[in-house]
Amino acid sequence: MSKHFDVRRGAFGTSHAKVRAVDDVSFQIHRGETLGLVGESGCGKSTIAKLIACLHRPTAGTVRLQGVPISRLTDRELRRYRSRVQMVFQDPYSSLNPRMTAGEIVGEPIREHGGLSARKRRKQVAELFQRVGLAPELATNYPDAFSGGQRQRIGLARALALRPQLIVADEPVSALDVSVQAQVINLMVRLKRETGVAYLFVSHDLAVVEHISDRVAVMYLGQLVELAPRRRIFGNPRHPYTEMLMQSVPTLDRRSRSKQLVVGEVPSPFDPPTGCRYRTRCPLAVPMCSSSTPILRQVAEGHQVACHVRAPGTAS
Amino acid sequence: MTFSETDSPLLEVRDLAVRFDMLRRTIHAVNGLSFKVRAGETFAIVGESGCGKSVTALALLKLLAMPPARISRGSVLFEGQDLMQLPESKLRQLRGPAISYVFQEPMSSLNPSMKIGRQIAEACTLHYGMNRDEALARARELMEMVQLPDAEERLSAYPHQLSGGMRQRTMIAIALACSPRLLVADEPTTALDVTIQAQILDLLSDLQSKTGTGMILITHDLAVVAEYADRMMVMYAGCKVEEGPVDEILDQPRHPYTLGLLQAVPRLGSSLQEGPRRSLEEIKGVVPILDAPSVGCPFAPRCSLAIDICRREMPRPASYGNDHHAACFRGEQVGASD
Repeated sequence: MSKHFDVRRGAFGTSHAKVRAVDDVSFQIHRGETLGLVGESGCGKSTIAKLIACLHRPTAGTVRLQGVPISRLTDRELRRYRSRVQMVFQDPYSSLNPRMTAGEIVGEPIREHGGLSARKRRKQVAELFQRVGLAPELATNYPDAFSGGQRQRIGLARALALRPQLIVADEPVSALDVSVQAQVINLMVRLKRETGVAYLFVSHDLAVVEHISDRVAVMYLGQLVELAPRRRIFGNPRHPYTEMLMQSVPTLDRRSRSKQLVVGEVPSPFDPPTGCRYRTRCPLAVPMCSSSTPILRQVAEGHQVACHVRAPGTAS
Repeated sequence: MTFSETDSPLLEVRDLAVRFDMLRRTIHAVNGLSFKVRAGETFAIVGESGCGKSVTALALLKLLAMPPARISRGSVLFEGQDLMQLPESKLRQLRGPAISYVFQEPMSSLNPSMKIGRQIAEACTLHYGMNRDEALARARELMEMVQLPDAEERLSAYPHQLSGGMRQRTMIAIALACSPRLLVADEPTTALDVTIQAQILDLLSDLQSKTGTGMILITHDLAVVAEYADRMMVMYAGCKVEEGPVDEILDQPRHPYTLGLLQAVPRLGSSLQEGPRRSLEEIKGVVPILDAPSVGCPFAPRCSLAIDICRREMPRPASYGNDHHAACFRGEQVGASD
């Protein structure tokens, strides 16, 4: 068995209104891999990110780091968990404290967890700055002196400060312009190669996810509908929702899309359809889809699909 | 869509410059921009944040807050008439029937305390003097045109009761209420999910081919341009760097910035190609702050092809046949090493 991170049966409900934002989702992230998580707004991908970063508690189910469920951790162990699983956020403007210098922001986790002397800490911060391609002299500047791309570099340096095993990145390049986006994506790929960190890369941008991921998970209305290595999912998508997502992405090749395929809107998560949640938009739906919820079934090595039509079960 | 070269343009912008007078400095947002949009075509304006694409769109009908904005020179000819010389009262009459707008954020463009039906009908009452019933009937018609489901019910819905996609359909219905000759769509789908983006863009292009409306499509997404536009203009730091037919520019860009943009975006299907994963091409550096007029080419500090003259002189557009221009001294060398 390889060591892995494991999310089991995470069903998350807020107390104000019961939204089953994430329902019965199970997957693993392997050491040093990038798992891409895609889906439309409201599908629960950010909730998953926060569950794993331990910013939300699951209603049911557990997150395990190297086999140990985080629900059983003591406060001290939880602090250690947080040092091993770090998060990078979408908006580089609101996720950095404007009253702290860039150096303080990057050094804060070291101070909290490491207890190094101020001098050693400054040295480590300088190293982190260099690692993410920022001049160490910039450490005395406040966030407002930095561009969006530079701020995201600061966020990455801070996330790397404690040498985590997993970085949960929630739409880390969505707020950036394309030329800057390429810089940050390349940086993330290089950091993974240099440090062996694993990423959970949450994004709505399929092309970016394809570029950076080893495996890709597709979510729809709180459920996982397909999970596969990237070449399989982009070369041979099996779930009708994955197909529609890919059909709807415009491309530079000006290929003619089969437009009739892209129909309907995501139903309200307050009152999701019974059975398969995608059935209201699905061209392949059969009566069974409204009566029973499809579970993820293996259709090929490492390729799982939750669809009664494309991945039928033997009995149900 | 095809056009003959003799078609007189629907819109012609000549040497437009827009400044923003701030407390201590002046921002040169748009610098000597010229372009034409023909009737019935989709003309895309592409560029990154701050390049001046939205400011250009708003300047057409003087929709900028002035001050701080100031149109310091240039003319905007719409069907031959210079809009910059018209008084506000005349411009108001043109907003809607001549040129109308669809913006990025449908939630902040719609009035939250007014029913959808009345918001659509408002334009018809204002410009055509329709009475309430006529205007509502027209609103119903428009809602069907933009494929808002359950039109009858939605007439009395408030914006917050609609999804993002439906709000954008409502915005399009309002924009089409007066059958404009030119529709300016400023990042119309940036706030929407991809499946909804595809539906909205398909809807816009269907409506356009039915009504013959010209369209300016402003976007940062080159793939959207590739699928929906006929001609395009690339902007950088308030200047036009390249203009021409979409196919030609995508095939053979003549400005290093255009090439850089094309190579910086990951492409869907990239994992299916043989060989190891390639890193994305980066455009080094950052966009300039536009608080002084640019000496030389504004892209020169980030350009790998830049030579001395690029830093001293502003390049004039060089022609590459068939309406394709690029403002670069070294356009012949762009992409040459590939």
